Amino acid sequence: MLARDLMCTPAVVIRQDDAVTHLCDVMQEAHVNGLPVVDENGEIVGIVTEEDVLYGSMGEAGASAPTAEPVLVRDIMTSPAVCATEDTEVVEICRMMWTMRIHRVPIVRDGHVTGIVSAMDLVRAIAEGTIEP
Amino acid sequence: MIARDLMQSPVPTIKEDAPLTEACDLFVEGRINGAPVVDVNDRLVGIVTQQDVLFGTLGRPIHEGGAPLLDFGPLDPIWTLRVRDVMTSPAVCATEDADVGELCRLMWSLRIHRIPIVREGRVAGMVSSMDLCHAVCEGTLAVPV
Repeated sequence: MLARDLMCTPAVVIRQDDAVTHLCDVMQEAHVNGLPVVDENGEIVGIVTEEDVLYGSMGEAGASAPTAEPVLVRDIMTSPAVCATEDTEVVEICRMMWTMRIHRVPIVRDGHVTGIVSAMDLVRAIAEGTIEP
Repeated sequence: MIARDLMQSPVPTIKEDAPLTEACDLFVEGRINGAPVVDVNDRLVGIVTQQDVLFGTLGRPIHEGGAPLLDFGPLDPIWTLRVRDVMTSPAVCATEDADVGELCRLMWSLRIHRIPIVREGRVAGMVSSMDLCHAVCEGTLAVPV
């Protein structure tokens, strides 16, 4: 089984110069916990998760008066993102997720995100009977 | 395959009356995104996740009146809230002999990432989506070629 057989498409992405508040809206609307981050050319530059919002954007504001400058996605994202291609084996993606304790791996073709494989896609595959437990 | 074959055990739990900050510490130290919540008798009463912390603390009245979304000052409710204030209760749970296919259907239909496994009301372990990744790595869960 390859990434293309399991991945969710199309992947929702966020721009690196979007505000974190916008990111929160997008994550809530899309019911996802993390998103690939792209630059102005649509090429992947990182990944951002709720965890990054929780620990990346909330830790410093208490130290001083809030500034007018919004916190941007690029300020809190993890970069570069751990990625795979559409023909990466699912077993290999699971190994990446487990060893690095990451929950999702963007699938890229020529730098552009074509889908995303998350641990929940394994849950879905078993629920739908594609993978037999 | 049943829950017992897949679950992590033991798993860290958190008391319902613990400060929310303790849950945050547990998440960071344990590198986990959620934990079962127990009462004084160690009985499962709910589950708390990072998402509960994120959305449970940002929407409080303290932020009304134009305060910035990410103002994390001394009056922020995160310092006074307890785990029970933001947890999901009751928790969706299962027993050790639950079929993994059934567990996955439950997790997928509810879009939840983890299910505490209980024995006589107490937490015996937990099955999360990441445990499926682990099982695939170990070869105990086979993906079709």
